[in-house]
Amino acid sequence: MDTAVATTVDDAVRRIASYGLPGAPPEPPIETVADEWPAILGQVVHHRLTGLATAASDAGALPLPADQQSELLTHHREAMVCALFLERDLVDVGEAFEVAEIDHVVLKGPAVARVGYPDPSWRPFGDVDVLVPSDRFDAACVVLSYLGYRRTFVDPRPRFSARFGKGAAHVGSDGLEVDLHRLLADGPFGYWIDHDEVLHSTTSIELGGRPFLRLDDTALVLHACLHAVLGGPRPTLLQLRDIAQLSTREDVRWNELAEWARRWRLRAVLERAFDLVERGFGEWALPEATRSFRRSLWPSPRERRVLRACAEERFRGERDWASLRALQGVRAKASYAGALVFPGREFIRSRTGSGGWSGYLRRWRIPVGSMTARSR
Amino acid sequence: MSSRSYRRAPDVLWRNVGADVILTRPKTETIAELSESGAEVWRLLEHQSTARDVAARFEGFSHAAAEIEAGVKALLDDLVWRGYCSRDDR
Repeated sequence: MDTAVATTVDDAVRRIASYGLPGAPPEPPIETVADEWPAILGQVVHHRLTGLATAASDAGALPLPADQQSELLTHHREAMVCALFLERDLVDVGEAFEVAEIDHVVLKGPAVARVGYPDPSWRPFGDVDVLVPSDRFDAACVVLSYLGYRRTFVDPRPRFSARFGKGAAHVGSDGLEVDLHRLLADGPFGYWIDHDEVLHSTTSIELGGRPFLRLDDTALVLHACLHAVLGGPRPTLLQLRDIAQLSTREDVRWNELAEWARRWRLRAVLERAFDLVERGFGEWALPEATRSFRRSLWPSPRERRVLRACAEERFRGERDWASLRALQGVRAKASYAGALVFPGREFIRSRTGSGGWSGYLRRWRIPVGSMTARSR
Repeated sequence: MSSRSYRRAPDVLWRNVGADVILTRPKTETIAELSESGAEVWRLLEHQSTARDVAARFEGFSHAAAEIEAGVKALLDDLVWRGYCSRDDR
């Protein structure tokens, strides 16, 4: 694909991702030419933008010929069927947690779709995420297992996720995934957040005829930023749209978010999240209250360093070092380091395909490489 | 017949897909799909309504009012039977 076409495709996808945001400057309809359509549709599906593209198409902001509209609707129907089945499963999980007396908070997809967007169909999701108190994480895993879910990743050592991890993904017999969280983020930032406070920053939402707790608007913005910056190598445009969309909600307490960011050392993360939104969509995509909040953030050099370790350098083992430093207590540090350096054979086999010494040697390349780089 | 009022079942899960609507409920394996006018009826059920109230929103269509009301009622009764709606006698 040549650069000119790529730019046009990127521009079309970016405009679809920002369709309907309050404050959008007036723009002509998003034009697509037939040659570009497969690339645009591919990006729309990748970034989970079928809902926004369909809404834009229905409103005339994305004029499509009948065959392209039909293709888009086919993908959007698949995404919505998935969302409905996930919500159906979430109702079962919520009921089971209630019986087991496990407090739980619905994160991301279903909550953001229902409260953040003008129509939940604008916001597809591919799994459901549920936050539980850390001391109930093991019990919640047992309940999910009872419901037929199985863990998708093997812990390096027993209870590693329950002690040090963000959570664990579980897949049901229907192939749909429930991500069980005990923290909002992996690594140091997850350790620094006071999750008792997060678990109290909630409000209720009705889903499938039963009440659930969701994060309140302030905590929703916080989590959207954490997810976009720390959730993977590059945020999807939907993750950036979530930040912009949730920032328009009137009940966001920006002063409280600033206080959390200071106390939990999240200023660099939030700064980067809002910068990504501005770079992706333009300055207009954030309301003035958010831009003012963004300007008030003064991340410390340490926060910036830890952010680099947890984002661009995470696959070089830097996040593990940063996590080790952030953990409280010698015993916790020793357990964490021990689990990473001497993980169980099943973990090694799942990661390297070999449970023998060759698997361990491959595993040790990461920390050894990281130490070598530091000593230079 | 029009004294009966209908509303969406509280546990129904649904989404717009373009002009259509898809629906499901907890503990079920099926997805129902309402296309175009059926989907429009569903959207009009945001508040409890009689078949006549809903049918009135379709005035101007080429069919007679009584015919539209009968069609709307048949759809709503089917949705009740499938558990997506509930019906109250006023």
